[in-house]
Amino acid sequence: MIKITDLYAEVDGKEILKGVNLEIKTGEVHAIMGPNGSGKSTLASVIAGNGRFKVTRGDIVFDGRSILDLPPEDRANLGIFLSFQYPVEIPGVSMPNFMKAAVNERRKFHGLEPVNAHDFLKLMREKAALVGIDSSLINRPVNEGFSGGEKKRNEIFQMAVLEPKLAILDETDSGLDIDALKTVSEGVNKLKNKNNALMVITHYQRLLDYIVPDAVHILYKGKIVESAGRELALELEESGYDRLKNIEA
Amino acid sequence: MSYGTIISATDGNVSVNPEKYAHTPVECFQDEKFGCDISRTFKKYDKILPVDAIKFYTYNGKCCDDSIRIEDGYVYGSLAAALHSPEYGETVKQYFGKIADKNDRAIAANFSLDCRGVFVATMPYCKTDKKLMIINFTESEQPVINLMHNLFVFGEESCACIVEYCVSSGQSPAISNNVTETVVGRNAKINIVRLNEYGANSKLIFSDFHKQCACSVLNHVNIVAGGDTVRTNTEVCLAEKRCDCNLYGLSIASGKQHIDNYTFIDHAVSDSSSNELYKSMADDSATGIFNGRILVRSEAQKTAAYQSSKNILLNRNAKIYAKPQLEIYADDVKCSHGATIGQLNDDELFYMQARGIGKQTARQLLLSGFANEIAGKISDVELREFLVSKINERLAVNINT
Ligand SMILES: Nc1ncnc2c1ncn2[C@@H]1O[C@H](COP(=O)(O)OP(=O)(O)O)[C@@H](O)[C@H]1O
Ligand SMILES: [Mg+2]
Repeated sequence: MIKITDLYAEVDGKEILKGVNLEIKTGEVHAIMGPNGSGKSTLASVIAGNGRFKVTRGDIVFDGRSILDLPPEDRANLGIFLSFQYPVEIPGVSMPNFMKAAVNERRKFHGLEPVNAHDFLKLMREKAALVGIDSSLINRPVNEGFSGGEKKRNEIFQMAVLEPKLAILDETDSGLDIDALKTVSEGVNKLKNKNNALMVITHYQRLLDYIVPDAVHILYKGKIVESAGRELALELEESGYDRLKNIEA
Repeated sequence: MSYGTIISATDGNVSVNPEKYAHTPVECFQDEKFGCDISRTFKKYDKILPVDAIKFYTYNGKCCDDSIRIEDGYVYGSLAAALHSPEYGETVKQYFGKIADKNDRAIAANFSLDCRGVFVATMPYCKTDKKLMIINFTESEQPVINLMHNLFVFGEESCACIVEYCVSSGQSPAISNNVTETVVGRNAKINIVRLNEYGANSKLIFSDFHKQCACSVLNHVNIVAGGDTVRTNTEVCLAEKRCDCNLYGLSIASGKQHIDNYTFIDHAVSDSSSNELYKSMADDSATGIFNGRILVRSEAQKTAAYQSSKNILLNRNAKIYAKPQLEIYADDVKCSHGATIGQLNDDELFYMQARGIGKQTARQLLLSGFANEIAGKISDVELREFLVSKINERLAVNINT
């Protein structure tokens, strides 16, 4: 589904990604772990097309085509979804207006008519129930005054509405207590099927108890330094990231 | 101004010194009776306006109807008719010209001619959900100058909402210099909204002077979406204790538009609060100005006064000036002010794009969100939706393209 080869990216002249190679196949769940500042969020942003980061080398191929020259909205409409580590608050833009724009822009992209008001409301209600988000939240301005956990839940709600092919969850677990972590993970699992894929960025192993990965990668100093099966996450839990100290970037 | 000595607005009629003007037929300065067919001209507006509202039309600065009506707690009609009516003549004389600051040149000019305008009063204790909508229509096939002088007198403990909707057609120069004087009675809760959609041929000065009596609440919404050169003056005197005054403003400027909003809140006595939020956006080579003066007099202890000005520049050739001006002479007060001038937030834009929303649409949504915070201050759903649709209409034209 997505193939990243030899990806280098920088921000303000500072090189952050230094040759990332990663392939996620349809139906798979991959976890990306690594200490703070490794470049995990940067990788997610670069895949989603954040113009703040400049790709200096390498390629990202999604569904058989390079997406580097596409604006973020086209990438999203092709089926890439980023659940942000820090979702922004957008006062003044209501969730319904925001989601309606998102749904309709996607439909337009695929040559479909705008959704009618009735179907849209139904969609919002169904997906809210699926991910267990309070319906009052999805009628407020986007993320405004939401708690950390509510913001994360809202990300998964949006994912449920947009049904992406590839969802990148950037530290969706941080800010969630254990109960919230459970419901959010259940929501994610309900959305997971053999035709889509997940890239789960996390700091801790505990999320992976709920969302079970097919592969675990350690990103360190802008590079994937270790890849293995699920057991790698458990090992990390025990030994911590100290083992990385000797690795030269 | 010598003209002002021959034509006095204070009694609504030409008053002359007979000796001085013995040989000049001063009657010719008198206001000709105005009779336009409102049904045809205004039908199209009736369709788009909120349904649950009384509508009153003015045409090129003159009331289209020279009577006084009483409906849903409102007394409304032309100022001249009110002056000559046995019931309201005294009220007009009591307040007309007493609230406005006549030291201001534009206001003096407004007073210098026989002023036509709208009179509105609300009955004491009358609480109505009905809105009174004054549609000021300017048609400038020929150059026109409008000088309107409105007087709103809200009775004790009344609740009411007046909406002034300013629209125009025609391409010739149109000047409006309008003054509105308002008295908000004790315990009254009043909403006054002005939506200015005059054409790009218009040069406008709108001056509003409000006087609040004890325990009254005034919400004033000033939306400038049109005009070429626009200046608004909004002055509020919190003359008695425990008043609450909320001023909200929005300017949307593009092309070469120049929109200048001045506000002045005078905390004259103690225990009142004021809250002000003015927002503007400027595109192309437009200019937006906000000047907010707040005076807390030494008597005005326990005052709370908050002011905020938020502005968005959409083009590097556009200019925005925001100047808060707090003068505080009392010591037991809570005051704050802040002004921000920025651009659309890249992180917000990217967030929306990451959901598949194109940059143009994303910008539009953000601008609409920014602007409609002001419309959001209106609790009346129908009116709020009307304003939102008008603001979005304005944003779809010549902004951010
Ligand atoms: N917008 C930015 N400007 C400057 N430096 C940045 C920016 N974003 C990230 N960085 C830097 O890039 C490095 C990687 O950050 P990030 O991708 O957020 O790491 P992680 O998500 O793994 O914690 C850090 O050193 C961080 O300071
Ligand atoms: Mg991160």
